[in-house]
Amino acid sequence: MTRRTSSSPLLRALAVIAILFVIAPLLSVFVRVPWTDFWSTLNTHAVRQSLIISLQTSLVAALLAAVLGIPLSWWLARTSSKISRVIRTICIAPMVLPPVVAGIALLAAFGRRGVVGEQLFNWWGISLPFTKTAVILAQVFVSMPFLILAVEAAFRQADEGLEDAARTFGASPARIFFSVVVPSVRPALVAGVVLAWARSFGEFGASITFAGSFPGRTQTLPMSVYEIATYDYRQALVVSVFMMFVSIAVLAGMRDSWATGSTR
Amino acid sequence: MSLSVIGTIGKGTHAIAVDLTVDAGEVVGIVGHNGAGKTTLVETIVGIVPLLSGSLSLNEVTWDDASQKVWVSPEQRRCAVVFQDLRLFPRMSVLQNVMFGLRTRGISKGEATELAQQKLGLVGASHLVSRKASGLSGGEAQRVALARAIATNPDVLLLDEPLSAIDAASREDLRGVLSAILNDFSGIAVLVSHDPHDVASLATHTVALE
Repeated sequence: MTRRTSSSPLLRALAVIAILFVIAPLLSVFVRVPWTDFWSTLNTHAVRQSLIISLQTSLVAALLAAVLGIPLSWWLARTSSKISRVIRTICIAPMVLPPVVAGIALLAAFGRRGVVGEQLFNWWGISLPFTKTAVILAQVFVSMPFLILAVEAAFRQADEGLEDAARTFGASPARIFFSVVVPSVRPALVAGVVLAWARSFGEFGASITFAGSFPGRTQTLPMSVYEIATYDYRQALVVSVFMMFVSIAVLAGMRDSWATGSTR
Repeated sequence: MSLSVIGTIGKGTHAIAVDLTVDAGEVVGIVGHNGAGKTTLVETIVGIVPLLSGSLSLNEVTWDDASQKVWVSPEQRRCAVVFQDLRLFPRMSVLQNVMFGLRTRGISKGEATELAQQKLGLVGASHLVSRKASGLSGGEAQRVALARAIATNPDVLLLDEPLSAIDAASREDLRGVLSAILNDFSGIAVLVSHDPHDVASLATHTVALE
């Protein structure tokens, strides 16, 4: 028996429109890019400089998101209290928060006059806004939810029977975590870290609000594209296509683990 | 050395009365129909599941007694289990699986490797050392699980259906291996099986769970 829904012309037409709507802008970038001077356009001092800052900050951010997010995911996966549900919602909120709001929130917390930032400045003379550290904090803030979602789901599926077995063989909680649990969720851990990195690499709104766009200091590649687009649309296209390559490469690499929903 | 479980066991509300005392050198065969609580008894002794009531002790040292608020965690009980579902660590090699309980108890890598290889030899699994646990057949995994359990020289050895994952041909062979191991074992052994033949040939006495 064929299901009627799958052959409905209306649904099929809408699906085709959806596909075209996504493909058209992506393909158009490729059509419009001045391929003949692709490398020379990409290889300018300003672009190189912001690419280096992007790589530095996003790699540190992904590492920080992993170091902080993996233990949090573990705790969230193994508790089912009301508090943990509230904390999960709060920690995942930056994913749906408008990025500029995330930036304002970070300023409110870590700005020179912020709730935490004021103390940091008064006690140790540390001022975070408009520094590379601010870029990293903004990236961790918006990217950690992606890691938590990927990793917590895998922790939930991990076989607790194996953990029980490890305990009967005298293993401490730390040893169980590192030698039994982590290896069994490694694909999801890798997926979570790569997703967090990709999100950090593309971060724009929160970072520009909290860290500003200072070339050579806080200007990342997305900020650079935004600025270049105001005076040289063709160069902006070139940098955009480069970032699209990076994103597609990440998705292709993830295909076997996260994108298909499998954790093995 | 003597293990004593007197009280009720169970998960949830269904309580099963147990009155069990086993001395060192004995192999007690636990029999009973499906759902009688055989696996729950194993999990209770090892400390995965708490007693519902009563007391569980080894040599006058209480491991579990809710009324006295005593609880010894599984990692301190010096038990070793061959689980019914084996529970080998799938991402580790066979050798790493057998070494696991030795390494957690502070035995050096060299010594643990040697001991693990020796135990794998004992169960006829020497050729599997470098294989990944997740790629083993049922029978191979059963032998490795047995080697892993005896490697730590536990006070209490718990065998939950230790011959169930194996085909008939090698079953006889492994029963012989197990019999030899239990003969040499100086601790307390608890054997759970639904097969009267296994119990008759391996256990020194039998306790039925109702």
